[in-house]
Amino acid sequence: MATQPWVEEGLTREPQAGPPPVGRVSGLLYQFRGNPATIAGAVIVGTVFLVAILAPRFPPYPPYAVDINNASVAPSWAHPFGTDQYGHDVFSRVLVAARLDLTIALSAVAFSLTIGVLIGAIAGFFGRWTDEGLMRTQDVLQAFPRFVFAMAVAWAMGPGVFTVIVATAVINVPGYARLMRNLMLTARESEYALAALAVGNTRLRLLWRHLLPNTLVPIIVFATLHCGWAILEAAGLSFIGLGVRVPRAEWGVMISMGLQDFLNGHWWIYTFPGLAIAVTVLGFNLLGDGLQDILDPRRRRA
Amino acid sequence: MALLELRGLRTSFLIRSGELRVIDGLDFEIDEGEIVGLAGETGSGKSVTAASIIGLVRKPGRVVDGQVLWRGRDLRALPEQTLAREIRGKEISMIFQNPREALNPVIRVGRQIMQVLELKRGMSEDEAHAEAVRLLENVHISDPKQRLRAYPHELSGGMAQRVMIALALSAHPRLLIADEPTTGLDVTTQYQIVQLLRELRATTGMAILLITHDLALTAELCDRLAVLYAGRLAEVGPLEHLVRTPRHPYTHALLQSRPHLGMTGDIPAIPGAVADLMRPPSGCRFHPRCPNRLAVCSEVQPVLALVPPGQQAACHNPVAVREEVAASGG
Repeated sequence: MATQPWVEEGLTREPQAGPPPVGRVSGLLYQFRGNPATIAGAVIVGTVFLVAILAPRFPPYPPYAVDINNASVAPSWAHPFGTDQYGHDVFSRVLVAARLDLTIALSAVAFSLTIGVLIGAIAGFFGRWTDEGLMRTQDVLQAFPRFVFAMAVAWAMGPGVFTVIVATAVINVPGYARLMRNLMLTARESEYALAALAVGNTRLRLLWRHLLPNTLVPIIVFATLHCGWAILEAAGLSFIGLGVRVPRAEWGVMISMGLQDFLNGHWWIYTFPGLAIAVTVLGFNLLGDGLQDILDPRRRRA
Repeated sequence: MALLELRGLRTSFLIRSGELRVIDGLDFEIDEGEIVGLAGETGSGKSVTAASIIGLVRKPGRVVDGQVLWRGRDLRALPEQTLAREIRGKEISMIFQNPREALNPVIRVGRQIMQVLELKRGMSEDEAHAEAVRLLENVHISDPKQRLRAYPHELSGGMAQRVMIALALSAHPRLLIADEPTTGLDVTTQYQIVQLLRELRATTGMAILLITHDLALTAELCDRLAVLYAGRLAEVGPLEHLVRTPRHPYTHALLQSRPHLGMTGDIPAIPGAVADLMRPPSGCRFHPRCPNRLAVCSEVQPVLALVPPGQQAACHNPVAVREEVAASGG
């Protein structure tokens, strides 16, 4: 802040930070600035997205070019992550796989979010038997161990990208439904819901204009965190051979390929895709945690 | 014709162990431009009365009998859609006890006011903004343009109540139901809100139903006072009569239990507890706690009857008019 003329020079305290900026974008950046972990998360997620967009167009090496002469080469300047047993450049494949893994994760999240939120909102808003009926079906879904259920779905559908998306989505629908139902129940019983009705909002308007915005922040946060888990689950399905198949460039598939070569000591084949998963999941988790503070007006920096 | 007339209103909460008769036969009216206080202890059915009027009684509560006549039209017979579109907000509006909780926490207050203006008065976004500024000026909020951008948690309690009032008045209702509007505010702010309500009545000519347990507040503001006990009216009449010469023993006891300057010793409390609404006492519901009770009180339910000096009381054995009460009750 500019020095204030009426304050004597010797009396000025520590220079104060300027007032929070007012504009929408600069306001958002201001919120991010107070939150280093969130910045780290955003940077990681941003980088992964950038790689997912660019890498398949300009890969350092063609990801599916078999080169038996250069199979299982340790990391070097020519191949920073080494090559696998078919001579694929692991670095190129790790980059290229970002697109497939993100696509699967985001589609699965979008899928389970849409269905789960819809079920939860209806159950929470209408209550009574609607609530009972919908939530008991969710109980049935949740009665199975998550991953075993996903495996069953994937097995029934046969391997493929779409299978992984559906299987990953299905096991997460109950999570969204439950969260949304709870949020909706709380919002519905709140004083502002009553006040909104008292000034003449119809029930549909109440649901849409007043209750949904109040449930949005937790849902977005949950969905962001869930993107990370979805990558783990999707990679898990591919790893055990129920999802995307060898030799597709996908992190889970690449790890499983690497493990076939595990006894030969070729650690780089599975380590780097594993790191890619870990870093991406970490990025989503950091971003998700930080979004809570940024999106909720009650928790924003003043 | 009265603006609002309640006839034999009965609202019950149907719960597992039976029917909880929260409002049990309420007859009551509010005239155009009048400020009426509805006073009573916690659990006497004040807020449920308000909810019954605008048709927003929460489950498992239900208005089971009686009429809510709004300018001659029975609101109970209207479908929910009509109530929402034509009555709530436009004709009857309401403000609440915890203004900061009654405003939507994730929407800027300006947006909330503008939504009502767009919805109820068909304004465009620009018109609504200008009108919102004007509304905030009317409730004496300084720097209204800036305040419109605030979220509810950024406002003080008094400021939030002013915003709530502006919001409630945005569609020019003829009746404002104020449910404990000053509870939880500090005394200075309470006074300012009272001033504001009085001023708004003068400028807009709307009627106000003031629901409170604070008799001092009713004394500041009301033309008429109704005292509710366990879902029935104990006494109703002009404020001055009720405060100076209460005839129902309950009203009398309520006034006695107010602390005032210069008093010594304990504040006289009303013995006993509020009536059990599941198994209300027979006859007059106040009789187990009443110092004036007669044999008839536990058998026959008293009806509201005109008593001197000019109010109605539901009592078999009213308190005698005494001058000392007049002196301490002012």
